[in-house]
Amino acid sequence: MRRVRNRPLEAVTLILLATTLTACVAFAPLYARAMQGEATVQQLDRAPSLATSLVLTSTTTYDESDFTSAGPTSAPLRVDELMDVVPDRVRGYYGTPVAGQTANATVEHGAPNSTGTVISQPDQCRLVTITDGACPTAPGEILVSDTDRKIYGIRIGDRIRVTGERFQKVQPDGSSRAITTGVRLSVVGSYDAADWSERDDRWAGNRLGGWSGTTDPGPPPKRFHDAWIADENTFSENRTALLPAQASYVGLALRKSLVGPDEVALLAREIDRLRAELLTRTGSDISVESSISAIADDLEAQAETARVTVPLLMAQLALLALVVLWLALRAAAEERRPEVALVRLRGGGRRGARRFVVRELLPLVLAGVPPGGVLAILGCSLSRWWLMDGDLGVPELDLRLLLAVGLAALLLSAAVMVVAHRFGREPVAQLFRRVPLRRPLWRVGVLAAVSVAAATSALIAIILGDATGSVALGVPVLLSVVVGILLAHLTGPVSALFGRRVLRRGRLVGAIALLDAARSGTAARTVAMVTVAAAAAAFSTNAYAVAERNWSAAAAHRAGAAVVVSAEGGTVAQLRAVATDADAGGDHATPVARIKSPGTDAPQVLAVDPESFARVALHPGGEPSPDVWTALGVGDAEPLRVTGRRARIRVIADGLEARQPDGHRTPVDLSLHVQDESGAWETRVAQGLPGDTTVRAAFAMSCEDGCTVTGIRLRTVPGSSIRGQLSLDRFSVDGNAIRLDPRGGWRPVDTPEVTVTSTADDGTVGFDIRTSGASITDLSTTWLPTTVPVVATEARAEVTQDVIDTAPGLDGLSVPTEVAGTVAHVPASNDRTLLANLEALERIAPGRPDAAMEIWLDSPSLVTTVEQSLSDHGLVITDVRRQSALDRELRGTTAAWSLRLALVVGVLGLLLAAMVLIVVAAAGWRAGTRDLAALRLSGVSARGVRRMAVAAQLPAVLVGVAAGTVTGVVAARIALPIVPFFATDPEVSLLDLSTAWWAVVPAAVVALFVLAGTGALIGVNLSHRSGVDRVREAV
Amino acid sequence: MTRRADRVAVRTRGLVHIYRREGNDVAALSGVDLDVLPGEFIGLLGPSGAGKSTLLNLLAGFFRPSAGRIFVDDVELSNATEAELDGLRRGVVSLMLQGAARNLMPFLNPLENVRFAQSAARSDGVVMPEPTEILASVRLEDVATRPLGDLSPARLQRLAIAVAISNGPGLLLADEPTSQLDHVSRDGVLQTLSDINRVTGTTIILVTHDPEVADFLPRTVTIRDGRIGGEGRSGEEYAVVTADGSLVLPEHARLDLPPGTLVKFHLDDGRYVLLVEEHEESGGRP
Repeated sequence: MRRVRNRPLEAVTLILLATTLTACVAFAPLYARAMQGEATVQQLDRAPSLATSLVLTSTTTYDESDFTSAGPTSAPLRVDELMDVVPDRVRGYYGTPVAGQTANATVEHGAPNSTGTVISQPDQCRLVTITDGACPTAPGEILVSDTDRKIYGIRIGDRIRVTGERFQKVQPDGSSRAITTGVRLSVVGSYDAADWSERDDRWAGNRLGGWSGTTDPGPPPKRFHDAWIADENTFSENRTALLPAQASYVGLALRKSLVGPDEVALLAREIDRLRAELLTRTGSDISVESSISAIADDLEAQAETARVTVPLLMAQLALLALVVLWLALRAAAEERRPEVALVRLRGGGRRGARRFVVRELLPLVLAGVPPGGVLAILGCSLSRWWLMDGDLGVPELDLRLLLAVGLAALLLSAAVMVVAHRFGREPVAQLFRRVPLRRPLWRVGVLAAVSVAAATSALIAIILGDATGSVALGVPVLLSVVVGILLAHLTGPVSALFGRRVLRRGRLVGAIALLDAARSGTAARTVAMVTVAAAAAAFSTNAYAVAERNWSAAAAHRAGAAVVVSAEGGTVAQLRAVATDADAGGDHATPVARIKSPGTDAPQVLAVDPESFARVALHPGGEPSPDVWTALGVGDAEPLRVTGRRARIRVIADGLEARQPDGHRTPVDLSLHVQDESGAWETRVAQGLPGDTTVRAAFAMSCEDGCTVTGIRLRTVPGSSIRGQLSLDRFSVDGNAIRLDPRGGWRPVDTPEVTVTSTADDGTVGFDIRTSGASITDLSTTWLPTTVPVVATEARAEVTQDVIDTAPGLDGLSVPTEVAGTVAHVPASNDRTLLANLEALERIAPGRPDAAMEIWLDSPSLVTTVEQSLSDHGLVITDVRRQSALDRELRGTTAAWSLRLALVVGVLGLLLAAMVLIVVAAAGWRAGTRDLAALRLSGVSARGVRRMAVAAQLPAVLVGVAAGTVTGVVAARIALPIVPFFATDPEVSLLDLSTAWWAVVPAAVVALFVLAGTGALIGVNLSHRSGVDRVREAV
Repeated sequence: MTRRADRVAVRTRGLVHIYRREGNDVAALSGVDLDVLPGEFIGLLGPSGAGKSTLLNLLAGFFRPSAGRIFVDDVELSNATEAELDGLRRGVVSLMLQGAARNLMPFLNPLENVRFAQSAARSDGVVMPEPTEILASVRLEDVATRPLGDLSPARLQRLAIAVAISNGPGLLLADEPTSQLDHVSRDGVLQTLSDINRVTGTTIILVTHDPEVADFLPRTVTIRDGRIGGEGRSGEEYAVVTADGSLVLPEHARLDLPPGTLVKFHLDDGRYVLLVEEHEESGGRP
């Protein structure tokens, strides 16, 4: 206590510095762990519950090697048997299991002609809302959905015969024959399936509703019905006929509150092991459904980043703290110079001197260790709350904290030992000097030389790519160490040179300031430390600003628009109607169809309405030129619109004949291509047209709600050739005359097999036809595009040399395309995606598209309207993607938290640099004030001395801040390309790493303000202490 | 066993010490031959910069001589290892720095200061005199536990002496122990040193400017221009013939005998008479 009482300020400073250093060292593992924990929490929160849950499904097995056999080879496991498969080690992390059975329910003959599932689960009638009838209680009793009742006309009391399991029946002759049984199900009630139109873990991931009326493409094509809820005995084996494809399932929802990073890893390991084990298991077919392994992999990747980044950042801060502590320890040891001299004087020897210094300083620095540990815990808790939006609770404490605190204690002890050792080596006679001798200005110490060499080597390793990833965050400190040390060694000679010049010009204040900077080592230390701190501040501010820019750009790109509502189950016309309902002007909502082809590298098409898409979509990679949207236009060709049921037309054949190669005549049939919102079809107009004949044809159109005639088709026998003229006129539907010469007219055909020219006049259209072996000749109006203009990304265009002649259409079939322009990137899509006009593609393939349908909105305020409208139009919402959520998601990764930590490190670095200034000044205050006192003695006024004292502090700070800022910016150029901004690299890179000057300049100004302000205060303080009596102090 | 060093003799031969600093060599001592007998109490006199403190530091083993030899109690300091020097400082040689405060730990009381000074020797397992005994020997037992700030300059100086003798050294080197003290205090300090010399037999070499202090001492050695410039014994001033046979004239004789003056030694009735050769221009004088 005496040493604290004797030098209280020094003791407090040393304890505080030791606390800071310990906190820095101990904070790293705590924060890294907290990041892992928070990443786990956020990842689990973001993941759908089905992704985190564990679903085991045991299905009926069939002998797939024998196609002739029929019937199952084994039944699914019972629910209790399936439960036993779940490893005991993971059971505790999951909630109460949900178990039940499903089977296929297909009606092949009779009503309702549909397919779907039948499901049973205990307490099922408490889960669903029964709207009519009663809960099934006997085998074969089912509940159907209200929608099924509406669509398929099912009534309560109906008996539905579904296809049962196939069995082998042994014939009297010993052979066997497969027979298919039927199972009768009785409808005893109905339930509301609207609440169950998404997969739900209360049904172990089964989706009950949203199926009814949607189509199973087959073959054979069939419509789906919603899940039918059956009594559990419906699945019993002792029934005479079994439902096919029976399965039992067990669903276990993850208890997220019990799961941390280690538990996720454990679950992933156990589930992977279970999967592998079940693959080799015979006698039952059990599938394991859980995405926990993918989550664990992602978390492990993030943890890897955290394990490198945080120690690296904190090492920089710890290094700064260590340097400050080192300076403070040296100053403290210097303060004890007379005492050490006495130890040597009384024969203590070097060992005695060392022991004395250690005994004086070690207890003080070790006293800072426990509070440092506590500070690290508090800091971690605060950082988790502030930087990660986590809670304020105590972070997870484990052995790593103890090890880190031990390491800090070791570092502190080592620092004290080194200081004591240096002091012990000093000759006795030197110890009697109150102020140690100064080394020559140009002399470079071993420590400085080693530091520069090590830092340079590390830098070269990073620049050459031997060190990558988060290690790049070490660039600024390494570069600034090199620059700082070099500058520190230049400071003395350069200041002396300038000082003498300024002195010759008679400017006393400036000259004294510069000469003092040259003479004392304080300026060199200040320059070095300020350079390092300013570099860290400039780098971290720049890195964070660049990261913010890139996160925003990535979120905007991934989202595509402020909000994107995805849906399924409707037509493009319905989708367009929803967009119009939400925003008739197309300023805030736009319909988009995303067409995907199979295969990972296959091109995608984003079918858009160019005009509204240009207004609503976000283009963070660069706004496309308006020409791009014009190029996507469909032209001004007029559709040939008809409305009605009965059509009439006059067909005039003039020398029209079709002949086979052997000269035989063949008939020519004429039909019209017609389409409406639901699809396209062909309507036959006339048969057997050859020769010179005039036919007045009457035919059905089925166009009560309006159709578009897109073309005519001439069909003959394959291999035949057609020649002659054909005219069509007097076309009317339900008595309304229709002109056959719409604006744009008819498209001529000129291929090796078919040549057709057309003339149109006053509602009449004539064709001159010459075909060669083509059995079908299609003639279309120009309203129906033959080639769709597409806009490719610059990357795609470069790869394909602007030749992209096909792309998938709305029906999944290829359509001819041509590149009409390029954009930097297609919003919410990869760089293989093409932009096309939705209407153009719809004209080619009307009806329900084989594509994901989306409504893009420029504001969240329209989401409710759009959701309601989608529901009204019979579309099922599958997802709502928000730019703000993606923004948050990108900022909620360890990569982002690391960069935020860098910002904090930058700020703390500045504060530590300010402490360096104070410690350096305190260490040299005796000599400094004596010099100033000498000036007072020689007649310089108190004001003049104050100005000199302040001015003496500023050059080093100015040089340090300027050099540090430049170093930080240069370091950013080197490091940012290898700093991970994202947990996983985005598919489309919009990285913009240009310097964020708007952030760097204020950071430099703040650094200058803080450090120059501190320097000025120190100068004022020194001048106050520089009374003339200081001169009398012995040296 | 309480250690008490034996009386220590000091002998220097051709002692030279040069300060080398940034290309400028300054010879502080240039051939000092000095013999101090065991138990002697002598004073080193001389003007500032004459080399008194340098000589004291050389005798304490803090400086290594540029040339020449130093023997302290048969140990040749010029060849001694650092450990041997430390060993000497622990129990044989003690240096009292100029200014009492420089010899004391400011935050320790007198008793603790003495104990602190003994700690190095104690760590060797040697039993030291009790600190209270030491303080009593300099008449400070009544302020043993008072803060140093409460002590007068004379008491501080006596405490510095107590600290210096706490290890029972055979040789006490005191640099200006009476400076900045009034007459009464000065005499008190001198009396204390004299008592120590008399009672313990400790050899004491004291540096002083003060002629009155010099008068108090049985033997004084004057250092001038880095050499022995003379000796005083019982109030008589003597020139000293050095090992190379040179002789430094007393100050007053220098005025009469400027550089270049020719002198002749004449043996007259058993006594040497110095005859000054008459110069042609200025004329010689007997």
